Amino acid sequence: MKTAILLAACLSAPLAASEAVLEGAWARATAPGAQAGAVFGTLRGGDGDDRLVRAACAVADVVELHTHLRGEDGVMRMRPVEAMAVPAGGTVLLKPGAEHIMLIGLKRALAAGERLPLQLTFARAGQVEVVALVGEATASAAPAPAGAASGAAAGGCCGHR
Amino acid sequence: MRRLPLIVTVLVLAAAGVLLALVARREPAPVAAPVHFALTGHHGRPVTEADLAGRPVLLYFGYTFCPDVCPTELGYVARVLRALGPEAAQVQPVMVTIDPARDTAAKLADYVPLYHERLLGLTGTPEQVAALADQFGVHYQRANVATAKPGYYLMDHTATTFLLDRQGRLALKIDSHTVPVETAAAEIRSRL
Repeated sequence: MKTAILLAACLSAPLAASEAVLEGAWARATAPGAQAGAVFGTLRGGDGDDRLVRAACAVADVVELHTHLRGEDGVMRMRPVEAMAVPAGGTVLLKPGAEHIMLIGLKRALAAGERLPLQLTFARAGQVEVVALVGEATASAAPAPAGAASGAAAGGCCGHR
Repeated sequence: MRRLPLIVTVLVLAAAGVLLALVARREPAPVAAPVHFALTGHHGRPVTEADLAGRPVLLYFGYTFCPDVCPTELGYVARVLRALGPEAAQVQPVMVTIDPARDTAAKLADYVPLYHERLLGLTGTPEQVAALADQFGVHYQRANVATAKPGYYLMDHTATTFLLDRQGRLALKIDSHTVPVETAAAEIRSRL
């Protein structure tokens, strides 16, 4: 019942929201002792141009915003970025092999099925709580949220402080 | 007017250069001869090419600290193997670490089962790893950027999966960015 209410709140939130959010946040399960993980999803802009400037997660020592540069030679170079621009009304896809939120110094392994709370800070929208759904280690896309109707956005339940 | 032929020549040369570059990238070289290596498996035992002889191998160079590209590629390999169906049993998936300083056999042992139940992790001395990577033209180096956590570093590396035939020769380069899983499985099947 609680889940249903939460879900309803989640689903109705984007209608009222005019601030940037991260929707459908997800991550992959990590190996025992793994030091790094990554969070993906869709950054959706609000009424005005915004920037994701910081992220934090209780299970990681450090959280950075990263992108990947793919060289002509097929070499992948991952690089931290200062911020991720979220244009008004636009979307920015954080996906494997591209932009992602990197968790460094994991205090424990991420397990498939768990819900991972994150705190995102936008320049304009301020601090936003996000929950990332953790999928299988080999997942290439967001896991289907447990108990939710198919087609519903995975994770990313949102509440501006 | 006299300039025109020069411009045409330059354009033709440029086009030829682009074509050559495209052709060169499609070439399955540089490995023509069977690969040879002496490394350590995630189980802690020595592994050489002799241990893989007779089996086609799907080979990827990565590292366990890699949060995105390596899980993405290993997930792709797992899906390709699934798409191969029963024939997947013939294929040995292997990940060679290009970060042997951090990726010990024990570290790999924690890591590989998460991606495929038969994935073999290989590590070794920096020289042993380089000797194998060089045979595939795989580049890697410590990224020249600081992360916010002292002592942690990233690796730049070639993210290509290689298929070796039963004789340990390079049979196919797979670019997961452009080749769908089913296509990769079909390409591999035709070379088994």
